[in-house]
Amino acid sequence: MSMWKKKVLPLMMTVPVTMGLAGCTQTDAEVSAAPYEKGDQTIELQFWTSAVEEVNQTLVDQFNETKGAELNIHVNAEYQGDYWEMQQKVNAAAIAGTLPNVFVDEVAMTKGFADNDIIVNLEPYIKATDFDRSDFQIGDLGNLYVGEDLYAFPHMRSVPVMYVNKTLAAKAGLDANGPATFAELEAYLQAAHDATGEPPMYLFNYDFWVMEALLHSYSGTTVVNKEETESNINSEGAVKLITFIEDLESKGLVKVLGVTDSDAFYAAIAKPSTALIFSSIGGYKTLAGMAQKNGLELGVSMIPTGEDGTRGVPVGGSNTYLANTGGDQEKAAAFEFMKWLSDTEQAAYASANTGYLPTRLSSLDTDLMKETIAAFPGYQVASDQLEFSKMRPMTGAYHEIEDLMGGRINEIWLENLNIQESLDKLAEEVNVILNR
Amino acid sequence: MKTLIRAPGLILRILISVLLIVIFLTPFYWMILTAFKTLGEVLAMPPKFWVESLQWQNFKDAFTRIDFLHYTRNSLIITLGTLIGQVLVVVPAAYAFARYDFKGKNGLFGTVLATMMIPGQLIFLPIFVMFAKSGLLNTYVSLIVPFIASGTAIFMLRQTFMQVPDSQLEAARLDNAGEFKIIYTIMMPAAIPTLSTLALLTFIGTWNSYFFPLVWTTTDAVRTLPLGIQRLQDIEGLSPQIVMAGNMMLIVPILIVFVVARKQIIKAFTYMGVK
Amino acid sequence: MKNRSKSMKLLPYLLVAPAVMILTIFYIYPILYNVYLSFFTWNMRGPMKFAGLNNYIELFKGRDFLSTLSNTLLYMVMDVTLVMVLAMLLALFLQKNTFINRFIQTLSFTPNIISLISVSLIWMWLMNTDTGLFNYLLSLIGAGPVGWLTDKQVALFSLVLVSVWKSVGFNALIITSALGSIPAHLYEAAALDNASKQSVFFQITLKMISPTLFFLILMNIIGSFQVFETINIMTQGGPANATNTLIFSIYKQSFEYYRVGYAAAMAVVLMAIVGLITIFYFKALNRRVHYR
Repeated sequence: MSMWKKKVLPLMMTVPVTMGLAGCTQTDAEVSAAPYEKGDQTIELQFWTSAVEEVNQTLVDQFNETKGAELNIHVNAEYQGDYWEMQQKVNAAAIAGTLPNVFVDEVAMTKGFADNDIIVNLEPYIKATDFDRSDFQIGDLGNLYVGEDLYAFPHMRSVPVMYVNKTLAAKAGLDANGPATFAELEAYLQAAHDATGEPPMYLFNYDFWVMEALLHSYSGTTVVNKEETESNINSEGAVKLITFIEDLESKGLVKVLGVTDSDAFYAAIAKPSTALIFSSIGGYKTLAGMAQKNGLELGVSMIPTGEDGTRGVPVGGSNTYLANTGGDQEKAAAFEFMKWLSDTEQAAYASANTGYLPTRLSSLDTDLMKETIAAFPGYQVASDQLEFSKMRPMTGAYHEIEDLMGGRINEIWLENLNIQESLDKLAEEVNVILNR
Repeated sequence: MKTLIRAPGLILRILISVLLIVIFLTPFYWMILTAFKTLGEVLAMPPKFWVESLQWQNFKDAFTRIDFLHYTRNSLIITLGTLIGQVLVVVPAAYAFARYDFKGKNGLFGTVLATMMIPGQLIFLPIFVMFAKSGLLNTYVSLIVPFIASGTAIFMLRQTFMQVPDSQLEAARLDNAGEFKIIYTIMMPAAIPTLSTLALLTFIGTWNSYFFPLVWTTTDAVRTLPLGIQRLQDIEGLSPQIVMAGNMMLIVPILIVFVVARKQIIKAFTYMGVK
Repeated sequence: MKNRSKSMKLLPYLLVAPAVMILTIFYIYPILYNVYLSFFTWNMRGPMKFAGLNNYIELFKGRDFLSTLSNTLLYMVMDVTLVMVLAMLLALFLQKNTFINRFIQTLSFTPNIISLISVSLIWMWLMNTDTGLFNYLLSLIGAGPVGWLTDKQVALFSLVLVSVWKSVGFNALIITSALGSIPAHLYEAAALDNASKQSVFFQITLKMISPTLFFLILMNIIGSFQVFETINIMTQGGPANATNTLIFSIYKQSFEYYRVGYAAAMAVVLMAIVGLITIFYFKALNRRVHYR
């Protein structure tokens, strides 16, 4: 007994000690960076992609053949799943010291990554390479900054829009652009419902990002206050919104789908009986294709306005992040890749092949974008809607808050709970997380 | 008279038998059927219970949408590594517990048995942190080593080793045979049935393992086929025919082993349940 | 000679050392380390902050842990009861060693060797609300559609169904083998006494296989606490947290919300429950053995 004890214990004691050490690495954000200089050896970079695998891979292949070959940089892309899987893997990799050089992830995560030293302040690199950021179509309200400093490049950015089933609208004698205001929504849905007997609208509130747009537009409020210390989910406007949706739901005009129904939700978009749906412009190409297969024409309109013409849409989607890993030259090389990836032609390619917004103003002038917008007018609608941009919450705990709110609000609708009471309780729970 | 009384019982028996067969066969049939359908047939309502033409394309799609060979290779490496590791670690331990008296033996053996009661799922988090801190995340080692000292295997082998007659051991010791020689020339051959049973159990367990490869890896580098199939579901969730084709490719190797070694596998599981 | 005996004394320790070391590092130590983690606030990246009992206080103050715990226990009760009752019936039904019975036995055992992810994917497809086979079959008799995985009242039970389908054959197999090992002379004696069918079943059959049944119950209880795959693939803990159980919650809290201490505290509670059940089982077992 004593024999193995002696042997095993020292070995195990080393584990917590090294743990303590690994947590302490801090980087100084203000250090200056040197621009990338091509060396004799090819620099290998790891790039983790999320959400849209193929388009990212194609872009990486293109980089390796052109700019990468020129600069002696080779990028290896690896797809990691959806945004939350990616977040999980990035955090795990940060602990393990196996971060990729560049990664793609959801925009509301920027601050969380920065707070935990997982990503690097881009300002020194921007200064070192004279990069011009004014060409970004999405800027100040894009969840790119932490404090005054840029920490991310916009990648595949999107806004929620209202998809309209034009085929059904024509059949039921409805406006092919859908309702312009929330006041007109009920009558519109009722008419569509009368025409088919099926639920005319589906709501996937687990994609809380859509709820943010409804809070901005219908209620003129936000999820959390500006300082992100308090929840607004029990405010008058929020209560009105939840009541409004519950009312539509009880009349059979909206079908609320739960967390397990994401596949059903996307399938519902292409159903002949679905009149309206709020979802990301990022899926535009895919959804329009699915609808077309079913003989439907899918239009894109802005999210309806609220009482006083209020409208606001959070600009979601993904950013690229420069991870805190590797030596100076590796980081500089990674920044070169990020720059290239966000450049006019690439931004246009990513947009034209998905539905996401072109992140560069100059992309709008490319032939590719011009052709795409002419063939798919929804792109223009989404771009115009940027005028109503709102920032997403920045708190690192937002994913937890989103999950919580999605679940609780779903429960309210499914079980017809008292709305004010339930939202008060929910707000308290959110406040606990915000002030943890 | 007698046959009249028995007839209803017999009919009931047949009905229940048919019902049981339907219950246990239908999910498999539905998987296979779906895997050979077109998307149109998959979504058709009412569903078709037969297909006009077999869509082998689904298997090709499943095979190329994920890096099937990569995941399969990882599954094989980890399965094989676990098997070899188990022999190296479990055989000596079981031999010592079976044939030696030493101070602390009962305590140690009790510890081994106690670990069989601890669901590994409960401690994935501290182990994850240990792996992360020691740089063992995303290595084959992290998916092999924790499983090679299986308490079940030590227990089963010990029982077998205890049944080897003393006379054989005495004879070997008189010939001045080393302990390792005894293990490999007397004990191992006597334990071949147990070892092959253990190998089957380990193969099934490791091939099917999903939880630990999920929580102890962060990249695709060492991820196994079950995770590959989940990935397929993530990206092709709207095309059940492709997911089911991939799923079939995950199940078939296990089914082949089951068909070949059915009796032994059933015996092994029975043993596990009544030990 | 002296040397040899000394090395002989060391030898058994050397032989068991690798196994004991691995079990210590991957079972014993993590349990302790987990308890240690549960007293800290830590997001896996920054420094660890000592939190005393805060994580435990938060567990029992918050809404979600208690509902998660009750989901876990509800799942366990439904799962274990259904598996045991159905396995018992199946074993009794298949007792006679005929070709068709052997076939059914093998068939019912097959799901047990298939990976849970495969089983989950198949059942998720069968249980699809709009295009699944189950709701189609229900529609034939004018019922449904049932939101197998989307209705809060049904989802947890649907997961139980999957688990029962997967493990009932294995449990029946064990019971069948226990039934087969009951000495025939007991039945012969009972027949001579003209004992009723019920009393034979309760006095002989059930009594003789009760150690096996208790063992299976324990195994199924511990197994049901580990449910993860079906949840992660089929429901993600939803709808509205209805299928959120402890292991899934630990996974989510640690890997998605980075609340390591809180998740570790949850694991400690579950470990305590498993420990208590196991101790209770062995106590009961010991008493039985003495009784005999």
